[in-house]
Amino acid sequence: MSKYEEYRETLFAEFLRLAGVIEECAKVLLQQSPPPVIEGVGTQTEEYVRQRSIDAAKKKDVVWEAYSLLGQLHGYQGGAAEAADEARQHLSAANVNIDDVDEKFATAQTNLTDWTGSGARAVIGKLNDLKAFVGNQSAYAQYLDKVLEQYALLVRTGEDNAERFAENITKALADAKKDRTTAKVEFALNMFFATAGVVSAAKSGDVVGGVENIVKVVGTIQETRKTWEETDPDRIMTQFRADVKQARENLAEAGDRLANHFTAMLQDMTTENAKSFFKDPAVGLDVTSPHFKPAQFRLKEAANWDDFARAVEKLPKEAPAPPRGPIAERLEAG
Amino acid sequence: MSQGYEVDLSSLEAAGKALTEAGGWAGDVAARVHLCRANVTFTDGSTLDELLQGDTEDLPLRKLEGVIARMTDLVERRQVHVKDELDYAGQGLLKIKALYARADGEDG
Repeated sequence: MSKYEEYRETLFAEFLRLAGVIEECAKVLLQQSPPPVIEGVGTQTEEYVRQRSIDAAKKKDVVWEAYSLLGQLHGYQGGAAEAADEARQHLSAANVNIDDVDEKFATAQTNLTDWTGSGARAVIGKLNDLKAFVGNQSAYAQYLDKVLEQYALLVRTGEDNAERFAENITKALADAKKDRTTAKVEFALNMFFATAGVVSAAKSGDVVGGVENIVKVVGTIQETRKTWEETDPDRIMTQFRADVKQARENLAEAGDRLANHFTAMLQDMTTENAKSFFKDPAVGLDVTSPHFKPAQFRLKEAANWDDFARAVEKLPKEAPAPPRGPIAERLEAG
Repeated sequence: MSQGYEVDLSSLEAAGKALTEAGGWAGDVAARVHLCRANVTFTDGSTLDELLQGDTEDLPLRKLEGVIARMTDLVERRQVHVKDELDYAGQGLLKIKALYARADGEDG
């Protein structure tokens, strides 16, 4: 993007130069009975200056429009693609995969098989639910990674097209200004073409293989040749305007196709995120709850469980506070 | 001192520890997902959080950028949710074990 910025700066500098010319001309024209301020022009000074002012005003508008259109083409600030690359690296390091922690789940489930009661059974069931939730999360992380990858591709393509536009509009306007002859510029733009055929929208529970559909949704990149061959800056701008519009719409359509692909999945994710597992009061994991009963977590093999359960019920649910030591007592006494 | 109820609490403790450790894993993953979230910036220079607060910029990729912001946010929230649930379950089982241990005359 470094050259793109340079071209935009060139256009902006040209805009400022033209604004300066107009101001200069205005000062001359506002003088009463102007002397021949431009050497060699003599009595034609006023007509010359007037014409020069009109030319400059016309070009100034054209250059400003070219400058503004380039800004709207892809965005106002570079670095979004590189940021997406870095975000993907962190996501990759996160390794959202149940396999890494499956052993812990298995240990918990195996040990809980020694226990019975509604609470113990509920915890085992919820562990299975949570494994499915983490499995979905693994798929979502992979979808996010692929979306970020395609986003970086879209941003870079938009920036690359913007750079080609910037280079060629700067050249075309400069040539037309300098030579007052036909300026011919030829270049290629990268456009996205969606793969033929319907790709079903992404939704929760999609297998990870569906991730590859994302590339088809965005489409393949194909080069589109452009030729501008005009003398008048206004005519150059007419071509430029139409081509910028086409490139911008093509980029937006590819991005929107990808955005729309995920409408249902985002809704599913939002719904799933509200799901409660162990925190569900029905599971009965809250030992401080007045509803907690030892029968909810009962050891299968315990000879005198009923006596034990009665002993549990007599206890306060929270562990008693540790007794105060001599230091605490001295501090309290002041 | 044990009251001799013959209640072996070791499996309950092992289950609680396993889930607490799984919660630690989920927390590490959540921290990395957060780094992913913190790195995302968009074509107008706005951050993910700024975009989630609402934006009206007319940019060609803005709709997709909105989806990326929402998806990243949801993935992070899910991961934090997993961590919270596992921590809760692990601590819940360990508290039950502690209560039972007290009934058996142990410290818990």
